[in-house]
Amino acid sequence: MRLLGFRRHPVSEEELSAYLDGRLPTAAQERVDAHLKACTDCSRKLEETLSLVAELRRLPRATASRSFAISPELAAATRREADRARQDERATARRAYLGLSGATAAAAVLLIAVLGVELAPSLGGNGGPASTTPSSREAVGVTAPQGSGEADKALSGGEPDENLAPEAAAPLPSTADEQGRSSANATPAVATPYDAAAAAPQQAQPVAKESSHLLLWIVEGAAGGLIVGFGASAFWMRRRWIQINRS
Amino acid sequence: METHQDAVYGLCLRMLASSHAAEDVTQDAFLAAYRRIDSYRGGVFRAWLLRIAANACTDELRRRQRRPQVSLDDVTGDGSPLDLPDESESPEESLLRTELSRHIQAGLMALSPDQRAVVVLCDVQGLSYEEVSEALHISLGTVKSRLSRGRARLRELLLRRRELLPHPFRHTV
Repeated sequence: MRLLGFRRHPVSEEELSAYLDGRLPTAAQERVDAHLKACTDCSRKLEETLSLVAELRRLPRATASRSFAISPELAAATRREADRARQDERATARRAYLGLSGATAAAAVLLIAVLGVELAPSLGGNGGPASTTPSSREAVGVTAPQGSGEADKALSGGEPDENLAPEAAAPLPSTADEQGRSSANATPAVATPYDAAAAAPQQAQPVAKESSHLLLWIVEGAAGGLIVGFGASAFWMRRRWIQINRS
Repeated sequence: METHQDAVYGLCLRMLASSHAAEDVTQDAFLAAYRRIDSYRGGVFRAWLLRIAANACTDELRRRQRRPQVSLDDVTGDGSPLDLPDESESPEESLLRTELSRHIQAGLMALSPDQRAVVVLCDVQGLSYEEVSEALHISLGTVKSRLSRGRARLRELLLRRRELLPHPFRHTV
């Protein structure tokens, strides 16, 4: 094979090494035999390697100055040491199993608590009959939801009801079309100072609710992940503990 | 186990080039074998023991790499357990053989631990490819490959001290 001017030798070092040990298949052995008759480099290399192997085989066999037989005392000490190590490992596995089980339970309690908070009506979940989700309110263009008059009053500095614009106090339109008509007929209401003051906190309220929902979802996800992680680790540790007890 | 202690000690000594370390590691290997006797699943017992010893040597060499403190003087100096005189040789021959033996040991130490283990087991201790494969838990192809590379490297190293070498080395350039 010619590759970038380099010609690969027909017999590799590995083949030569296996050849001198008689570990080549017959066909390869014959090929190397034929090559050695023609290649002085390989013949020299083979001779040197044979000589090296002969020298390695002639190296003095080292004999230990003492016996490594395991005495009964050493055997007993080894057994004691092994027993102690096994007991330590068993205690560690038990502690880890109990700790991981407790952590799994704590994560489960956290998840249940977070789910309870999320489903509670006070946070504007599906459970509140008087509440309206921010998205639905935005869809109908409502700026003052029903039942929030007291809060609006407080926000506007306790202004009396007679200062309210008639449009703001009007009943809520039921569809977007009605809202479109009413907003077209009520141009002055948009420009009143009362609405400008009330708009900011009323817009901030849905944003705050969205943030709290997002936070709850993050906590739920984290709690779920912890349950899976701690639970799997506790399961594995229990198996290990049982294995050690059986051994 | 006693019948195999010379093979295990010989491997450790050639791998570590220190008689003290070799004794410690051999003892550790026998203790490890005693503890793990339940895990012995048949096969050649010597190969199983040698595998434990080879692993113990590898651990010891890794420890040394982290905290280098052992020199080769232990086995290349006078009175080394590897310098066993052959009484059938003349003093001159014996001296030359001792020198060559030290030179070969220094060459072995220049190999990687993987290659050294294969060369020691195969060429020094005379194990078959299959036994080496079982002892070191490597394939036959890996045995062949490591052996050929180890031999080639050792050959190169020995040729640097041609005057110590026997006939085929001395007359080739």
